[in-house]
Amino acid sequence: MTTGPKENATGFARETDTVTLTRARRGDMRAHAAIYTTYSRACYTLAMRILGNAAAAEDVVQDVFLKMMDAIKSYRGDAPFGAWLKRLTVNAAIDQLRAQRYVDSEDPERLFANIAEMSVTTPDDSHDAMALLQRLPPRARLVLVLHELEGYTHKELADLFGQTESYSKSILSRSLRRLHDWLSDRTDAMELGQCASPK
Amino acid sequence: MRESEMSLKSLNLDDLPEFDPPADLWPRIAAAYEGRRRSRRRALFGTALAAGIALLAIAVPQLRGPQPIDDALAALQRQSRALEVELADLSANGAAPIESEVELRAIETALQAAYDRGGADAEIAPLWQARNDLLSSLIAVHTAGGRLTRI
Repeated sequence: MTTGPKENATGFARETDTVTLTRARRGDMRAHAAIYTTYSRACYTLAMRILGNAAAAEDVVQDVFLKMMDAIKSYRGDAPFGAWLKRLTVNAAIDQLRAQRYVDSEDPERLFANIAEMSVTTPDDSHDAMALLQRLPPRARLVLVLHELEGYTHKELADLFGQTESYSKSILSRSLRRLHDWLSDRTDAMELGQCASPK
Repeated sequence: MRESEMSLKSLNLDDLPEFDPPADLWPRIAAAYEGRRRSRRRALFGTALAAGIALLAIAVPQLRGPQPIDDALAALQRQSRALEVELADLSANGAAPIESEVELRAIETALQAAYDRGGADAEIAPLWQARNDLLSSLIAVHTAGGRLTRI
């Protein structure tokens, strides 16, 4: 299923021609299928990065495209289509997190308190960026993915969470610090391993 | 590294992988969408049908327009029933005039015959009118305490 690392931003920047969009607005299933082909990977990837779970990510993709097929009639083209679809994906992923009761404490301090013990890396997955990302609390992961990978501003994140901009700044900073510490632990462990290995 | 300089890029983290959704996901989504569309169409059809029936029920009598003969006939029948009740009340206190009864039976026989052969309203209405006139006369006679005499 994984097709290997490429650029970190998902493919919502792709464009769809107006003919396909017009056909989709008329309910043409082949046009909907073409839109799915263009954006499903971006949608699924973003959902996987936020949720870290294939079944939940599939639910998000299904939810997003069912909503898209209903709502495309009201899409007026004010924003790029991919950006519109990305917003649907983010909202669906947040709904999934809520449904799974994964929306953790709003307090940044408490948010990271529970993962303090997990900072000791497990060597087998320490090289895996995806695995490191999944160690973060869901809310922190969401902020990190949206800001660092999807280009959301702190203003947009503040609107999304109904919080101040300093709230998402605080979570982002702590998340990056945590990732940095985990990576340092990994480097130390690797150096230690090299020193201990027989020559 | 200072925290303000930190970003995902600065961490030199491996590139995050991209993921392809399962191949059968689109057929499932398309099937779910078609299913929803069908049930919506059914619901819409049901609503439209109910609305259509309601509209017909309201509109048809208006489309038919005023029907003076029908209405006049109905009015004559209502009047006839009222007179009948009134006469029955009065008759309870005294015998009904024989000759009037005969005349009443004759009108009613003519009315029945007109209905039996599917007579037009224009034919039936005068018969109802005749019945009402006779009933009114009988009521007047009863009220006056006299007998009906036809010349």
